[in-house]
Amino acid sequence: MAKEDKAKDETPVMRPVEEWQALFATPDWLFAAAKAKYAWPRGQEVTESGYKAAIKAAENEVIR
Amino acid sequence: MPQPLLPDVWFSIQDGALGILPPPTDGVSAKIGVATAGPVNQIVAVTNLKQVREVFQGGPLAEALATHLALSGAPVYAVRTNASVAGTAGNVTKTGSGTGTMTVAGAPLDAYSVQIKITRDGTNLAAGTAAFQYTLDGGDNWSPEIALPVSGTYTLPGTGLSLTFANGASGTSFVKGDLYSFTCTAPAYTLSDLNTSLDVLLGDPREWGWVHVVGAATPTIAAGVATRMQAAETAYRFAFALLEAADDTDANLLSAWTSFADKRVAVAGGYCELASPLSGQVQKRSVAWPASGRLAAIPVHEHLGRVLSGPVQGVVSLYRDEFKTPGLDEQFFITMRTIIGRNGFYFTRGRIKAPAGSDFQYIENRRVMDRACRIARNAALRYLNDSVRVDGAGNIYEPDARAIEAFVEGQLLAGLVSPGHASEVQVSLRRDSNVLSTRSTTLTVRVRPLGYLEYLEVDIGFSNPALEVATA
Repeated sequence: MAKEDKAKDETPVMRPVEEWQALFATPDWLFAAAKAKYAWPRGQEVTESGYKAAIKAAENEVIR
Repeated sequence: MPQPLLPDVWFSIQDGALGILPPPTDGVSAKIGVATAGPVNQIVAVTNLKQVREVFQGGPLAEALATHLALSGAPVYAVRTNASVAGTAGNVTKTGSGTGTMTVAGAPLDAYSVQIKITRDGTNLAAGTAAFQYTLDGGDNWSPEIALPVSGTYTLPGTGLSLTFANGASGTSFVKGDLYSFTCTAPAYTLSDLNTSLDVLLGDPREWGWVHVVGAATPTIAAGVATRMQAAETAYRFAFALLEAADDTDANLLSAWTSFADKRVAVAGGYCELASPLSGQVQKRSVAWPASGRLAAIPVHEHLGRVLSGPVQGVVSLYRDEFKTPGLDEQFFITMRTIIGRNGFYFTRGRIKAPAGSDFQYIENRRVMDRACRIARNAALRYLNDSVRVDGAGNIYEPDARAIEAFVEGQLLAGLVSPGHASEVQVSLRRDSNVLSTRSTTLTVRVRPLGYLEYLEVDIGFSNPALEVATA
């Protein structure tokens, strides 16, 4: 039972991307870029690490 | 001038009665890109080629500025962005019977298509008899013949690249006709770098009509830029961004950009061979480069593809001709085309990547409306916090309303209609707004744009006057 609880605790929290944006104060331009890159619809739920990775990837999108 | 203490005649000098318009800034543009030299993230007002050479030396930004100046002569603001991604040189391929090899080192300063052609035999480097020529633009322009250095090392001037030749194990190392080829990608920048440069540009009070982001952008970049341009609009910066789509197939471009639409972002699709006013080389560039130059050379209302304005100078050939392979124009990309019966190359239309049905899917509409916004705001600001008389209902007194309308309309007529940018303007001030209670009212401005003859059907046939008479 304790093992199950622990596993439950470790399950990454999924939240809508808009909530992550508010939580991390992601600038609108960067959020819009990530939304476009990953085709997130409104309310798309992702994990914190997934959100951060997506934002990082958008920030590093290259113009060549 | 304050009222004097003693009886006297004094003056209160009025200003603004002449209705002088703000200087037109919609023909001025800005460019953000990578350059070999110059201050990073600072605005440089560029007016001539000499300045481009001295400040930026080379790289895509310098080349784009040179093209812009050559096509329009119009001043342009340049922001050299931080190139956080180095350019790369690709693998060297060799054809020919010589047993020698060549390697390339260094970080390229621009995109090149390099070829090195051996023009004289050399058993080995020490013999000192071999010579070569090189091209940076895929063979359009070749260097003079250069003796192959005994050391084997040669620096390609102004490119950031060095070549190292090595002897073969046996036989003749360098044989006339041997050809070494490789391509280079230009240094690049990220969305984060671009955003920093946009901060600089948008934080500066100088006005401009559009910003050309030099380098191939993706829909991700476009989404970020669109958000910045929308935010700029709320700060009364009426401008659009001009982006370059990647050098890709139509199918891939259409698929990649299908979800992107914005009223302040134009995307150029297709590439052309463009003669560089800086180096004389002919390089493959996005059609956004000549588009930006042409936009700066024409009035705001002019159709980018106006045939009377002639073909686009400096364009040597097209890699993609919208006339031969239509598809991108209808999806709101700026494209270039050929026209049967006309020499040279033309733009199909000035497109904004706006949603279908938007009034702003054409650049000329975007530019005319942006000018109207600047003029109307400037004119209306004259009345901000001013007092007006009101009638018994608290509504603005009719003569005061008419005075405001007349001034704003006069400004718009002088700035839009008289120069031929629009057909008509109408201004009306709301009369039923209780100004006493709300301290506000609404000024409605309507601009009737020009019409454009994009499709001309010529109904032609023979006539026989005798038959016409008989019928009558």
